[in-house]
Amino acid sequence: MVTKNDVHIPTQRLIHPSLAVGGEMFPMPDWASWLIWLGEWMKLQTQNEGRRVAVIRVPCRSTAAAFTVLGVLLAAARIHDDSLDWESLKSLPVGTHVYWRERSPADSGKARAKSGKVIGLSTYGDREFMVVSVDSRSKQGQTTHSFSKVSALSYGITLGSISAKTDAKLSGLNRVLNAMAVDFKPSWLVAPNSECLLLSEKDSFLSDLAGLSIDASDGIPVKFETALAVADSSGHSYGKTKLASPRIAVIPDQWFDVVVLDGAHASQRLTDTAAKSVIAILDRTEYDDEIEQVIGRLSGYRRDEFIQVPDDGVLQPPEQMDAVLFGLPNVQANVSGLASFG
Amino acid sequence: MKSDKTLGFGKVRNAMTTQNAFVFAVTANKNAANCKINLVEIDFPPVVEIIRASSEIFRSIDRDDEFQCDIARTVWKLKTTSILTVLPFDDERLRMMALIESLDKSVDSVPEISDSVKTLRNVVSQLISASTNPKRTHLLKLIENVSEQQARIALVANLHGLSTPGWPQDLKADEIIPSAGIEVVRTRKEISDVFFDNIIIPGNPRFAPRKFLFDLLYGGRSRNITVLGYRAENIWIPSPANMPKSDIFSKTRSSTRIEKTFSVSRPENVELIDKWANDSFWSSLRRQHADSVPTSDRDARIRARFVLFADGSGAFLPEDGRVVEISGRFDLGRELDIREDRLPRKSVTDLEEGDLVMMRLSGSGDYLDDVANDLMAQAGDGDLRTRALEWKDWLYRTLKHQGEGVLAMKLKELDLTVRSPQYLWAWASDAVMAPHDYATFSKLMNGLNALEPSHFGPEIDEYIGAKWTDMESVKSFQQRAGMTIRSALVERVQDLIKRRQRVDTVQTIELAGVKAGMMGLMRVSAVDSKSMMMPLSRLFHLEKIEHS
Repeated sequence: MVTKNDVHIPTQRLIHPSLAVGGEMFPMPDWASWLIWLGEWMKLQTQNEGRRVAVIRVPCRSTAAAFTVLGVLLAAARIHDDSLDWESLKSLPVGTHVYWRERSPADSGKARAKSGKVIGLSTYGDREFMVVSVDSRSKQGQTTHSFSKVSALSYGITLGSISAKTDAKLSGLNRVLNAMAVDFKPSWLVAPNSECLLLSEKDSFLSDLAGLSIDASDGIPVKFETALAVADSSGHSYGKTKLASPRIAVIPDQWFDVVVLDGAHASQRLTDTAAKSVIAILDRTEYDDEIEQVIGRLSGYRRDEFIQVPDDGVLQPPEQMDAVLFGLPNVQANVSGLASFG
Repeated sequence: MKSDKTLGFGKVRNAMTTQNAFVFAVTANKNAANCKINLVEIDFPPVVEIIRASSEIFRSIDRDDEFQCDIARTVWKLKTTSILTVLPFDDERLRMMALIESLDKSVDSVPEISDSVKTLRNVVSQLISASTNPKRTHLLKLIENVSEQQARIALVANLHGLSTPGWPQDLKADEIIPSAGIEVVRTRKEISDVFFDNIIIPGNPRFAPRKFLFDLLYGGRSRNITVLGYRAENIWIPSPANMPKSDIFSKTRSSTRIEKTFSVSRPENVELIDKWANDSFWSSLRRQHADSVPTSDRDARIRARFVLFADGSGAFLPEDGRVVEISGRFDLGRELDIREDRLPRKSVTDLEEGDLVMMRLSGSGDYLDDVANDLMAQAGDGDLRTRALEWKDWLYRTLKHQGEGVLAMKLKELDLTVRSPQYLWAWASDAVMAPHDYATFSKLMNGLNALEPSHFGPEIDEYIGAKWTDMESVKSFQQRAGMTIRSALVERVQDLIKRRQRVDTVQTIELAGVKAGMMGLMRVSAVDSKSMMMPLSRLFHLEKIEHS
């Protein structure tokens, strides 16, 4: 049984811009539009109970994950809630390295990158402060900085540093969001966490995106890779998309409610993630007995009432693509490696 | 956007191979959405006779007797050659008379097959003397119909692996038909970035490599696919598996149209001799290695696949592992960028025919480890690896005593969830060096200490720190070893590329300044579709394979 509830996906409102390759323009193909829609829908559903797994089979996997991730980011930007940022900052374990940018009038308002380690929370009156020990090269001893909710959100405290390069990526993403008419809060761009974890082979994923740009309608195309604001794999720099190897021993999904699994190796990890929405993308050669077994293990726990159909209906995949979506109860990953349902 | 016409479905290879992945995906999606498969059936009674006689011989022989197995292989080759070839039957490269003569000689040893061999001799002799090959006639007609406007046509020559009977490995398209635009395709690599106006599969594709076949049929390489075969071949076209039913998405399988000009056989309707000929090689190989025993506690058994190389050798490679694979750069003459962080690698499960992988030709075990060990010894710290990894023995003992489930539960209490409890064995073995970050390693050690306290007592943190530092040093030596190997290999390969040297089977490479043994670039001929558990010490160990 599939439910309808307050999840609303106004797919028609978004403009799907043209794409550019080597100076030639391409309208957004139907399969790419559908993958963007799917990414949006899967992100929007993370607000609700339960989990969802979508398995997509395509004739050609190149760039498919990139469009899906873009959809996730579009939805994330739309539904962003500042107050949750504060909750997630407060829940950071002691010792977590955080980054922010300070603008000082003494420095002509120029932003300066700062970093530090979380010491803990303190309370003055009825106000809570996150206390951070500021990294400093000065020999005059450690300084601490207490962030109130308002100051923390205005500084944009993140879990990776925002270098000039990252700044450029976020600005590119900002232009894409504007071009697609996404109604979003600018604070989302520097919200603490990344939004989407993508398990993919880094080299092939990025080389597939080489030369592909999104027409931001202001005459200057935004490189697709830029629009995804990919954080570096070391985790030191901030980004909206975290790209990790399918062979990583422990999937770092505690900060992500959407995980995209790109290809056969990544999709073998379907049962290793407890993310609220998981999207596995495979080409036809990759959908083999092993993947069928992995899907079979999950579909035994199938609970389709956790799927929320949008008010304007489900967009069906194009003719050449196959898709299956099933709901699952919430999980706590347990020692058997399989999700423990209940 | 470009129209279909300007995108050119298969019109210009060079343009398509240099276009980016998105443009490729656009065309592949369009082709896949509009693809139809046309089955063309030929009635030809002599083929029925050949199949019947071959089946009788196969039923009569003793498959436990190696000599009689050779007879079965010869019969299978003769049968498959006559069915799959599109050359005139009297073409000498088919060696059909030689195969018959070989069978004639066998009759003395296995008299039960004499009548069937006689039938085969008569039918094949008639085919050779008549010379007309009806499959060839149909193929020429098909090509004539579709070859207007310089259409690009792929003729699929890999229906039973690279040495498909009836398709000599060096057979070129213009030797089959002198017409422009026809290409003989044998490997997945050859079709990885191209489109065709038509793809012709000249026989039953049941035993064609699955990924190659699925790319052809469902990967959007063409909108028009023709399968041309004799009715007696019992043609079977595999479909993508059904995905689980979904209430949300109405369709769970793509809708490539198969135009049935005749009934398609069911998958189980397969000639036993074909199944045997295709399975016997791999199953006998697996049987031979079933008893491989580990050499030590750390010599964990892991899933491995046997990879067969074009020089007739082969090796087990770890299923989860990756190997250096440079066919793209080598065959296309692309520059190897020495500034790259690492050499191009490919997962063992993704290896396919035609790949060019780097293997160690002398010695055994992991080449990188040995070079790194040399460097450690040169730096006066020859014990570093042993010291850094001694905790693995502790982990191994604990896993043995307590079981992986108990340790995994303990780690869960310490807020560490591993991808599966079985994965703990990988950490205990030499398969992986260590957890990827300090926090995970620290939790693992603390979990061990909680279950089976060692003599470290309160200094466990110090121990963890020391082991982590040692492992970082090992990693640094591994990186230096990698750089040393890479530089030497890149230099050598660039030189080979410059000299336009082809590598058909193996190219030996001696790396100056690298002592750990001789390297080689090996051309992959086939990969076992099934894996088996093998001790780590048996991996990457080249062995000669005797197989006709």
